[in-house]
Amino acid sequence: MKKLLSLATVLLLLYACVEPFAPPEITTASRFLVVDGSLNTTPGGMSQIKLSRTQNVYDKGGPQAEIRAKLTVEGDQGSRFAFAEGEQGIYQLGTANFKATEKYRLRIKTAGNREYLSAYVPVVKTPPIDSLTYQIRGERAGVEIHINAHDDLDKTRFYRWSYTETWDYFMPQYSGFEVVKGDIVGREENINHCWSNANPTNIVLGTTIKLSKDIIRDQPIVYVPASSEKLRATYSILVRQYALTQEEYEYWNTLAKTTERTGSIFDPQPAQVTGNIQAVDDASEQVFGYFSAANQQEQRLFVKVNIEPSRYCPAGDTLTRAEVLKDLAGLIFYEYYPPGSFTPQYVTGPAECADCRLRGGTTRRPPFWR
Amino acid sequence: MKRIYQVLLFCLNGLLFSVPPIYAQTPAGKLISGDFKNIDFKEFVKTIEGQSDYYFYYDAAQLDPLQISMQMKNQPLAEVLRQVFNNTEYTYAIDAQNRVFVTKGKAIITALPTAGNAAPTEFDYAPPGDEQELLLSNAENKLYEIGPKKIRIAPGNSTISGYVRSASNGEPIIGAAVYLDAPMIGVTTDVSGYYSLAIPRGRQRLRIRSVGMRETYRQIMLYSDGKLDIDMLESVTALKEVKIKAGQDANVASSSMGQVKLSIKTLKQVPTVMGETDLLRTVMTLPGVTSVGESSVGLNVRGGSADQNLILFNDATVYNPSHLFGFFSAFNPDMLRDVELYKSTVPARFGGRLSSVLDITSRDGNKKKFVGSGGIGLITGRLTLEGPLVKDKSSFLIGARSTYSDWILNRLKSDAYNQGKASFYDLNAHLSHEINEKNTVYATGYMSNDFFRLFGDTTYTYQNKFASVKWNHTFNAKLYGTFTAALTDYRYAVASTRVPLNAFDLDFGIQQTSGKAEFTYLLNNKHTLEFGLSSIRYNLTPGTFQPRSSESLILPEKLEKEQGQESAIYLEDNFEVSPKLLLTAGVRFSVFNYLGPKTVNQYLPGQPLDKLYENGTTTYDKGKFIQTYGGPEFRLSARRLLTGDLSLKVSYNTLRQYIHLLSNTMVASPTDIWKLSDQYIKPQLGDQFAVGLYRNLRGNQIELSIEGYYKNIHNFLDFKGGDSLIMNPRIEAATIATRGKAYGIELMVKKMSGKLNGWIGYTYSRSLLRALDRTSADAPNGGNYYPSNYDKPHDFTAITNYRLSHRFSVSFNFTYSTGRPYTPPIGKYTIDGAQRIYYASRNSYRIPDYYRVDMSMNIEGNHKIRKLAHSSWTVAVYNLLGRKNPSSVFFQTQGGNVNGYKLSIFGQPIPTVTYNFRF
Repeated sequence: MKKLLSLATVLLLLYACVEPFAPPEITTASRFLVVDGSLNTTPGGMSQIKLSRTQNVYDKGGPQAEIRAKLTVEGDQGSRFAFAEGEQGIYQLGTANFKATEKYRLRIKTAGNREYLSAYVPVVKTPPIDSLTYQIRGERAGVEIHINAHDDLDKTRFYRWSYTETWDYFMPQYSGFEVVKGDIVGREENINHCWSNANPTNIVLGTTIKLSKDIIRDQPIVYVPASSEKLRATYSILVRQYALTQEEYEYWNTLAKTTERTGSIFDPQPAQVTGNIQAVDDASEQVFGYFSAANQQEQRLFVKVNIEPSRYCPAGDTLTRAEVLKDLAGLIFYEYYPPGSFTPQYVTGPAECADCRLRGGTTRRPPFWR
Repeated sequence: MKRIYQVLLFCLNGLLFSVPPIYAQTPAGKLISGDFKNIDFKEFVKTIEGQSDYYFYYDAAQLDPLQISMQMKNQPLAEVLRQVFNNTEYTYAIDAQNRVFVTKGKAIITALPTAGNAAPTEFDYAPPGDEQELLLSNAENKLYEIGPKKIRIAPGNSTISGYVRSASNGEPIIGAAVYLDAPMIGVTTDVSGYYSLAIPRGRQRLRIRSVGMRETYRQIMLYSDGKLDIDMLESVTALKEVKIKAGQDANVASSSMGQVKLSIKTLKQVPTVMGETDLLRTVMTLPGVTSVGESSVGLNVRGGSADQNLILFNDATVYNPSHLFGFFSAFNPDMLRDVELYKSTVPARFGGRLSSVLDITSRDGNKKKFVGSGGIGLITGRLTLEGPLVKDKSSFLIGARSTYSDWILNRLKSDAYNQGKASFYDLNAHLSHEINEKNTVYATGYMSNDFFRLFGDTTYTYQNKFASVKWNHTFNAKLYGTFTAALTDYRYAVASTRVPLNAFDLDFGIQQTSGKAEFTYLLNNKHTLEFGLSSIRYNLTPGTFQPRSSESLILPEKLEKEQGQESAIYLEDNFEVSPKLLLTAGVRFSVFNYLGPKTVNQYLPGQPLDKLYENGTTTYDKGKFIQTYGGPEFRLSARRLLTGDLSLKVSYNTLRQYIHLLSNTMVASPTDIWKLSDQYIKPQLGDQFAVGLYRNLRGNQIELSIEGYYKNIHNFLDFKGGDSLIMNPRIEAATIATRGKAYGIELMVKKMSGKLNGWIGYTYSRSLLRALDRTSADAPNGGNYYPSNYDKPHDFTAITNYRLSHRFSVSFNFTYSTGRPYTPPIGKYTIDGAQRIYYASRNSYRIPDYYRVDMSMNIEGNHKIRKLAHSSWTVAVYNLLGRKNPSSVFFQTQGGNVNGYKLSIFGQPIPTVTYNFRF
């Protein structure tokens, strides 16, 4: 009986079994066209559209580029512009003269001879960014970047922003020497000071539809917590502003809600979002992407708040030249002349204390840095 | 000689035979004088016996009601008694030894007929032949006189009413048919065993039939309106029977369709997961009833969602009818009497849900003696005790059930087993008290607790509590009322400790208080009216989210409470146009008020309901009406007997629902959000047209039925893509209103008796939804119809039971259904530098089909009626083929990759042994 009882106990546990589930609808799904890009109507600007294919969710690696397609932009008043393929799957259109009153659509003819067409979209005029500001939040816990913009004509109403962050940082120790070809020489590259950057893919949206005037005031773009280590020295953010139609705004809004997560009780319900592009002969074929035409406005902000405490990183052993050449684990920080000696010894230490490149940055100073 | 009298007295009692009154043999005894004022018969006898040498034989109890007021002077006894018994049902006889026999009804013969003593010509002899056997039950042979005796009976109808009860435990018998053969007039008893029937006055034979009870009859002499309580004996051969009464008894006037009643005896024969009788799982074997998955809490009736079923346990609403996500049903089988499912004709007294009503009734405790019963299974144990508090008047019934798997789990060494945990308990109590013939009160209480941990880090608990008090009152033979107050409290909590920094506690709760008054009025023989009113107060705690430990960085969050009031009045008429045509027409008017205090989100006019367009809030004070909805609901049905064993039924019902359930189907553990209708979320409206043909074959042994239905549903809530439902302060922005349609055809063959019995059901049904605003960007599948989560077109069930002997039976279950729809992630793509997942059209694919075979054996102890304890063994194997039927399919992201999993709860054969006992 005891055996029976213990057999029974595992019922709820053993019998509840979780197995991988990969039915054909998941593993052999069709590969649909993905259109990533828009018409940049900024004077002198360049438009870029990437074509790729969707992947099976279990696929490893990047998406497959859609090459040798023909992309043209057609205006409803007869203008035509052809894109040229640069890198594989990346199509570009140089400076062109777009009319503010004309509506444009994108025509794609793939190498497989399938034709896709977007809806006609108006050229939306993006007003300039008035200013970028920042605010220190909490007990120096972080910095929030705000944007201000307005449209005197009260016509824009729907906005999207994207941004690129760049920040520099210094290491606690300075490495003045390095070993080159069995000799100790002065280090040419300054590896104490680096710049890092990030291109977050957050979708930041804003609307003034609730307001009587089209004024964006102190709209948060991003919150940079001190723990991100981006605020050690100088932090810089380049914010790009795009005006949207209401339809495109809703597209981005839905896209923003689709994340890569599902399965936990707090995760969003699956959403379907495609865009405004259709196959010419099969409206039910899924095509991902939203074609739009707008100019882009951008502005850069530098923030120097130094709200992070500097770290301490102690130097390590002091070694002789022979010891350094024979067996150096870290980096040479600086020379040291023991009292009464003219032969330098070398103060060394771990690379993590002196080499900023180990923290993901580069020593190349960005051209816009000031 | 004395012995003969004893025999005679015995015969009196048994009414073996009877003769007309005899006044002949009155010797010139002493004359009687006296002045009696409101004295009882006993006193009267004492006086007369004191004055004379007469000696009275009578049944004191029988003569108890008689009050005597008279004056007499030197009258012979015969004359005195004639006056005393004038206009009563008593008669008397005086024999040669001055012994006086007072009886009710017919007088007795005081001497055997002899040659010199001419025998009376009008003898009623005992019925000969087979019926002799029935004489064991004296009640059947007695003539009950209803109302004051009259010599001349005016033609016309009078109403006879009363309770039908079990003779063994005094429990009311529900749904017993009380009827006359000719003219064919009948009713069924209600939940308290009450019946009321208008029949022609005069001598009648009232027949009473009920499932599992011995058929009986009462001979009545109906003089005027009156009361007759009937005790029925249990059928000792009931072991043989599987009875599913579907209100189709040709003898019983009923126009309801799509109604199935399962008694506990039927429920007990269906093999179940853990070897324990399971109400919900048995209901799921009926045509038109499905469930999303094995671990699902809800029933889906005729393409309706799980929240569209009104589940009542002794009139208290049950929000979660199961334990451990459906592994067990929440109801202790030993507490139950029966369950009634209404899936097309919903009586007007019910409302508030669109799809069905599942009316579960508990037994009353035994009013005669203390009895206990219970069962010990491998996972659970249960015990029920019952008995009289005041004999024949009031009784109690208490039951408890609990798992003890935790106890055993802790004894297992392996960590893998200790990772998961599951336990529950439930406690029931039911009291009934008959104050007097006209008033009965009942009280029921229920409490349960569930604890569940499947993957070792997230625990899920829920508590169900409900209580109800009911008072049945008979105003008069024609008007009968029930007054009920009930309380329900359901709450659940999810706690996670997976990541200490994110450890959280999430709570959700719903409370409801309700009161109702229901009346049945027997207008005349053709019309029975039901009317009443009800009101429900809802209090919802939509969610609190709190850090679980001091380490957790979760910010506490609390959603504002919601409250609402739902009130209704109804009137329904059962109209028997002719014995062949029966109509039921009802109307129910319901009103819902969404009440403050509440801060309501406002949105820009003309824009979609979305966080982006949110524009401030409006605050309402306590008790303020924020939004009011209301409207009529119609319940119409008709039955037409085509031939004696073939009938056609048609019904049309409309219903309204003010409370909604939102369910996240993409996760392994169900988390359901109940939401009241508010400014943005409109009440669900539904209507259903159904038609059915019913035929009985082989003397009602085999029942065939075919029913078809078409349903419309308005304002059903489905979720928008991309929004979370949990802890969402803008639930209106996360949901979309849809229009639903459901249609189907249900076939059923039932064989209720014989060695081989059971039923086979097949259903073809569809349940489709479409966004109300088809052009909205949030409309799933481009605004076209898509299958609902519980759309399972084919559903086949066979329940068979083969009785090898009276003590041994074997049952097999076979269930097949189409896999339910789901929305898989079918690909990923990169746009604007970020990888995104895309999903198939909503519910465009199905999880694998479901099929399962179960087997069970029942071994009964011997069949002596009287013994210390009755016991039985149930040996069952659930999922005999060991098919891994997925009950849930979910997707998780690990290291940037999406992985799909299917969770099968009972993926192997599960053998169980249960020992049941009764003492």
